[in-house]
Amino acid sequence: MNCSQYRFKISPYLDQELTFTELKMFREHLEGCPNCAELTLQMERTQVAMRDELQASLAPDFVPRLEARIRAEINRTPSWWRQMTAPRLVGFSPISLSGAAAAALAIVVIGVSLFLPDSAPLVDPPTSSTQNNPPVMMTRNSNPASQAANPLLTTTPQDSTPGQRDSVRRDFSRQMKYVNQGRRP
Amino acid sequence: MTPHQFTDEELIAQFQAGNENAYLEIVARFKDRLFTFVYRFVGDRDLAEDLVQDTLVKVYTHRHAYREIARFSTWIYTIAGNLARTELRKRKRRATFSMSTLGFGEKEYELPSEDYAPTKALEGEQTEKDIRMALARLPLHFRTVIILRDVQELSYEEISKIMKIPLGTVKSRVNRARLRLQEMLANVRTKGEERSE
Repeated sequence: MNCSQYRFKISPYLDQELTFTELKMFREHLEGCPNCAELTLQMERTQVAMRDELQASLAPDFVPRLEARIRAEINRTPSWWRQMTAPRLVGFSPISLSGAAAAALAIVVIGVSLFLPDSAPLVDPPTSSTQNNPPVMMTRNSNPASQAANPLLTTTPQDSTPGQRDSVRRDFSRQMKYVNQGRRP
Repeated sequence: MTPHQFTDEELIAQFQAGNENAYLEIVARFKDRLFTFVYRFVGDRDLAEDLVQDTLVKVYTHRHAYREIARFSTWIYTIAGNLARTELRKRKRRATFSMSTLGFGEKEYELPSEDYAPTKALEGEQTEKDIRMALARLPLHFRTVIILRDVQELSYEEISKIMKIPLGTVKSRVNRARLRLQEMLANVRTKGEERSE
């Protein structure tokens, strides 16, 4: 190792972090190298000076001024916020408890909606344009082929024009008339 | 049990439970240490005093933010360090904006006078002044670690947590900061000796 490599060993030497072997080699180098020995001595002195001479202390009126500032800070904070953030129940503030409750409720709602069976409505909800129309029956487990054959089941209020809806209503009334009279349409 | 028999962590726990006297003990314990750290960091006494006040006010108002996963000293030094860094950044921006050629903190340092001849009594004062000058010229990341290590005497682990950098990086930064500081001090001393001749 040369001097520039030994220079990087000075700091661990000052911190007493060199291993036994490293320390032995380092000391042997210092004995034969006055420059590294002088640098080590200077760094040691600087370290002591930094610890002893760079300590600073505050003015004696610091604490009263700090207390006055804290009082001002407390008065500036709204009382409702202090109440919300102050610890109450088992070390938790009301604001954090209410946040936790909201999160728990959201988890329950999401969980329930995931595990419920398919809850598609049997009857389409009426819309403003179809409130006067009779509801069109939609069966969940019915055969799609038979639904396709029956125009009453395939036609929905959303995808028909007013004219088509009137025609469907007329057909429906006619069929109901036949049913009531015991005849086939 | 008197307050000074409690550990820092016990004191903050008592303060969190509503004991204001515990806060006063924390202030008594940390005010000068924080002041030394911040003053050596920013190089301006008044600003350092304001920043220590800000730090201690934050400890008061955010006392419930402290969790006993780290040492209390780590937490409080982190607050002080962050405030000091933010302030330095602000000042740097202002200095750049005003096109000032003076670096931050330079105004309070004076060049050694022509009749510089250190007596034994003045020697310590001069050494302190030299170190302050050299510290002020160190890059911020070197200055922070060397103050925390050699002035505040914190452990490498604590510095690593305060600065949020790996332990190995702290050690290598301290190493390089000490060497750089020594070079600067050697230059300052050489200039001083030249003037005294």
